[in-house]
Amino acid sequence: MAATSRTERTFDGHYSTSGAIRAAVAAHLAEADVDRATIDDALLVLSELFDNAVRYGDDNRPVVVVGFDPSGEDPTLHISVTNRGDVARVPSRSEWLPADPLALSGRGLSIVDAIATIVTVDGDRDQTTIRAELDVS
Amino acid sequence: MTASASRLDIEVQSAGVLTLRGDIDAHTAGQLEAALLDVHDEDEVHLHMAEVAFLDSSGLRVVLAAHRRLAEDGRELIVDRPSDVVTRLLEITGLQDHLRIE
Repeated sequence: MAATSRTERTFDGHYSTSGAIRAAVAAHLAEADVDRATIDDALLVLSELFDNAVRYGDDNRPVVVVGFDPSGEDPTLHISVTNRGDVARVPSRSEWLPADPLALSGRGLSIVDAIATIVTVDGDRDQTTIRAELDVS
Repeated sequence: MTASASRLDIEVQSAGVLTLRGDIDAHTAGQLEAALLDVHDEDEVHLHMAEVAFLDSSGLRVVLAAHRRLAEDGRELIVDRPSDVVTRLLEITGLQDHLRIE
């Protein structure tokens, strides 16, 4: 695998840019020799976090950070999305999974939680960051 | 990188049979929603998803809404030949047990 790599970019927070962000992240991870299944999982996590930030953020300019660390016995990939806005808007973890399996909405964070090994929510009244860490096979 | 939006192509093969190619996300989900609302009368509505390169919860919401709407009329939504990313999302969400997949 390639050396430790990290990208940090700010994207215009609109649904229409989600595809461009995914393309950029996919290219970056492919260049780092991350396998296709992990890239697909990473893109899904990214999309859910990005849409969440666009939907609930105040400024529509989420900051997306994708990091890949191939060193050590357990290579990891992390994705974090930061938006302006109160962290209290993020539902508590117990509310991430919809009670109704056929619920039409409210499923994004449960998808992130199912894929990632670690999900953290940090922030204050002005800023929210959700970070997901994925194992890399 | 070119900052291009995601793209979804929907081909109506015949009445009630839609072939989807591309990404189904928050940007393109409305296209799929409109196409599904345009399907009338058929007892079975087939979504061919072998060439879906990306699907997230925004796209899933549209699929589930169609599934529910059709079921209320005694009709059925069928997901045909889901791609790996579609299968992965259906497994993660447990929806493979609630949707008809062929």
